[in-house]
Amino acid sequence: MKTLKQLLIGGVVGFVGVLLLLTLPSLHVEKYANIIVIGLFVVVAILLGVSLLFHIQIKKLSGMEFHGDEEDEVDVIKYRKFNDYSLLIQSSSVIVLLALCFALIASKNIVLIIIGIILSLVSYLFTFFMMHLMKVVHPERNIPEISDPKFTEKLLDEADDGEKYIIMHGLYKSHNLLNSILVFAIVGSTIYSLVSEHSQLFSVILMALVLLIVNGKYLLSVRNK
Amino acid sequence: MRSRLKELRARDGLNQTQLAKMAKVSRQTISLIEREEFVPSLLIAVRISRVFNEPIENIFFFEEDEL
Repeated sequence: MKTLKQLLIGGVVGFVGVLLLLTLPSLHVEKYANIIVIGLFVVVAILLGVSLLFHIQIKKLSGMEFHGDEEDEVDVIKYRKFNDYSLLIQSSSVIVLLALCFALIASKNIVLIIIGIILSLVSYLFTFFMMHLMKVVHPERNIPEISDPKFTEKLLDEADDGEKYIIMHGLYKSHNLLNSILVFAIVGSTIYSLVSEHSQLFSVILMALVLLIVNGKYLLSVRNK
Repeated sequence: MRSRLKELRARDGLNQTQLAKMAKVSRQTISLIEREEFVPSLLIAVRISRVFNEPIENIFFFEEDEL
């Protein structure tokens, strides 16, 4: 049943992918650039709005006292909300970057470019809020400042064994996913280049470089231990 | 690996968050150990055993085929 489900999902994704590859060149995305950029800005605004709501909820829960099993239940809620909050901010940062690229390359509308820059700054500001919130949620921990050059290393050092185990599992899965997706992206870009006659060679080279660097870094880290 | 964490917590009236604070670990770590998804390090095992005032072997158990 699971295999059948995976096959069906794979089939649908493949079909939509091929359909997009065949129709995108004739769509002239540039024509709809302004609408696409505005649409992406709306998505970013919604994501930032929801993340602000999560921020307030987490801060409120952190300031309240709970006892017994309720304390554990609230901690689970805070933990999940904080992860959702991080995902929302990271997603908004990526989508606003995409919108800004779209505005610069296809739309070339100065107002949209300025809005894009402002939203990028707001997204970046939210990352600072997230770090501040981490200190509120874990006051007992020595969370480093985001300006610290060794921020990521120090942040990982603050995690205990169980948290590192969870992080390791998550990163291992996402590393494997990144490898597969980039290979698909390279194949997709190559097919798009052939179908549309708009060369995507530069992107293909960049993606191949990313694959080589990421895998090289991972294997060197593992090899030298 | 099996453990008596849940039973000992109930005995001492501790929730996961309280045990985590006393053992200087995160609640996630306690939860993972209780769900038998994570084998704690010797350091964490010693800290937990001190919280419950029980020897490590009275808290954590391995099946014969795991040893």
